[in-house]
Amino acid sequence: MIYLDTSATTAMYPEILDIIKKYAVEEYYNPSALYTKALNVAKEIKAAKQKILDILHGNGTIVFTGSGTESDNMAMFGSKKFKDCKVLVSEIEHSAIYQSAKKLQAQGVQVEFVKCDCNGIVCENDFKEKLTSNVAFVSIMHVSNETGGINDIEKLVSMTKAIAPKAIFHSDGVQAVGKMPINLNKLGVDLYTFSAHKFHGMKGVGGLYIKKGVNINPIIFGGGQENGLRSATENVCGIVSTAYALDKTYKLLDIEKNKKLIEYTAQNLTKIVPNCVINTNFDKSLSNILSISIKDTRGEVLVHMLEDKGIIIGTGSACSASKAHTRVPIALGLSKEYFDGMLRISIDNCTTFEEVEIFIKEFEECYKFLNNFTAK
Amino acid sequence: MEKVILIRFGEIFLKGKNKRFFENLLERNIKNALSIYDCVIEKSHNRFYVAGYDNEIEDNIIQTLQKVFGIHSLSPAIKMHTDIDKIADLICDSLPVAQKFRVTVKRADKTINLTSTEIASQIGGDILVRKPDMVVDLHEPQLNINVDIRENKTTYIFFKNIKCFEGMPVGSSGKGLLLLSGGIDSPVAGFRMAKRGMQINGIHFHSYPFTSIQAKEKVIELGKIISGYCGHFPLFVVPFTKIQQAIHQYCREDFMITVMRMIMVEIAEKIAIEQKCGALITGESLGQVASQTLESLTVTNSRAKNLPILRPLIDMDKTEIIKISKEIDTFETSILPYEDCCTVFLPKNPIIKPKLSVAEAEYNKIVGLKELIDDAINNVEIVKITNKRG
Repeated sequence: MIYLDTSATTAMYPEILDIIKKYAVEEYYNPSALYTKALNVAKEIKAAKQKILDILHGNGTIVFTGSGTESDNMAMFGSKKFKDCKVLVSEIEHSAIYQSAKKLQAQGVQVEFVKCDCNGIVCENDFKEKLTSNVAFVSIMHVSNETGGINDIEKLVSMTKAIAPKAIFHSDGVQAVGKMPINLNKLGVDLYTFSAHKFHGMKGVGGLYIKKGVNINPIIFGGGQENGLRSATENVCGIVSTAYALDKTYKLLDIEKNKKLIEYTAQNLTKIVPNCVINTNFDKSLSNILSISIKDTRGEVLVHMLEDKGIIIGTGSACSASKAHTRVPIALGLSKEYFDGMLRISIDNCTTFEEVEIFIKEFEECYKFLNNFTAK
Repeated sequence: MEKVILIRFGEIFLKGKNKRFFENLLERNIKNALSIYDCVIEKSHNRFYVAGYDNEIEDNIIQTLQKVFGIHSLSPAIKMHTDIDKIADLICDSLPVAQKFRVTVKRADKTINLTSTEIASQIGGDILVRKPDMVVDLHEPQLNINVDIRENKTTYIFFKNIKCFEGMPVGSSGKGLLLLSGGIDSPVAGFRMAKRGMQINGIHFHSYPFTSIQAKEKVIELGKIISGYCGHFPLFVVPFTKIQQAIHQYCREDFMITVMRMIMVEIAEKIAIEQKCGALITGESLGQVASQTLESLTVTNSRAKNLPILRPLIDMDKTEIIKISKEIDTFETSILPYEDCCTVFLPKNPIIKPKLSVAEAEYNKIVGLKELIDDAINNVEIVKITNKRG
């Protein structure tokens, strides 16, 4: 099987099974307990946090959660709001932020959605216009899960702090961590989300980086684990393996190789499909995602046809006329004929040139066949 | 004293000499439906009783029985040896919270010297002595205490009467093949025919990869819900992609749906005859969409040469259909966003009033259609859907 949907999830490194075995069967002690064995487990958690902070160059702490979505919710609902304040998020955010922002809006908080360009990158002018001194919370994703477009978070943070010094700046880094070098100190973010299964870790483990000096409130209450910010017995297997996976992924990361592969794929697909729009701007995007929209074509059908040939790719937005699924193509400025034909090809360290070659060849065959059946 | 569930028959009361046949069928269906529970079914005098079950599963048994057609109503009851003096005691022990009550007595046992009214007033009086807060209200009681004194020295006491769907026992009216698309209407059509005693088989046309696996899974899920009402539900999944492609290739755009439905009916009839079904069932409702106008129905009807097409929703509004689909729990599944027909094969302006002659001409344009149909039938996948009652 050729797997080209790494932005959806990645295969867990097999050796993580040993880590799971160690902390689930052998060193299974509750890190909150007082005996030495439990204390040792608590130390492992601390070490894992430090390792992640070192890799991501963050001066602060990490709160482990159950997912990227939970981390986003914690950032959105846990950061302090004040009377007549405003929240800014981009209109192309992942649903974890977008729907949370909608919920906040329904609760009476003023929320504004910042426009993005056709590559899924936030329009700085629109951001500037919407940025006022009463902004309490900003959430702009580091890398778009749809197009791979990279936002200049460092610049957006400094713009924010200049106008609204007290505002909390959160960035959803789920698609960025493990795919590009991250320096949280340099970015200047207050809060930053990551998710382990996007870099070959376990599913069900997320994290929220909190910069030193930044205070947020918990959204889950109980035994007071994670410094009271995320009550629940710690997922030791998940936490320790996340640090391992992150370390290994960065050691293997070859941005140049990925960039070559993805650009090669884009060049070939453009030749095969004359009526397509490449939503990814390679000068301002991650090296591993290609978003392509094909006119008057159902992406879902191509996905199924390729699946039958043992190749897995993603659709940008689900093949559906429902409003919820047209948010992203509309935000990217695509016209209606392109809505259904959005495909996302995403690779990572494990993807080979041979696999990409096979994909291009099979894609051409499927596309040509399907082209006979476009709407009359 | 024992807890039982009393089952009353519906329309099969009226079946004269055939009553035994209907009763036996209903008994079989009840036994099948309750086969997953540890209980026994007893029969006496135009009623069935479920007995010998654990209290905790009473609600599950009731929910399951509510889906068995032919049952008029149910009552969880207390069964006791007839002893007028002890009835009030038993009632007081298990009385639901209420202030105003009445006692309704039915006395089939004529060996008792008191009339029904006299027994009722005696029981009511006994209750008032034990529960002085309660008052009798014959016209607007909060609680109707029913006491059913049967001939065999057995008395049943019950406080509620749970209405069921009634209808006829499934299997009493032959077998029909339901064209199941995955939308809101067809499951309701299947439900309605099963309610009239029809055993239901399903047929679905699947156009993978133009429609998704989820679209097929959704239809299977709907089949499971329907099987809760009609028991065994085999679903015939017809690979329809090649035929769709041929229609797209050879036919006029505005006739694509008309011809598609003609072929669907043709295939459905062939499979129905093979499976010994006596009718096709569709969820069509007059004028709902272009393919359900009188003219369109005339065209699709023309392809069913040997069997009738039953359309139980033909006169219903969409809102009425949705109401039933919510009642029978198919609505939430039906509205899942997996399309049963790819937009590629949907014309922008489908013909609303197709002429039979033109439709037939379009149908005849498809080269190799007979082979395509045979091929589709030969490759039908049969999904045996297990009875998901309860």
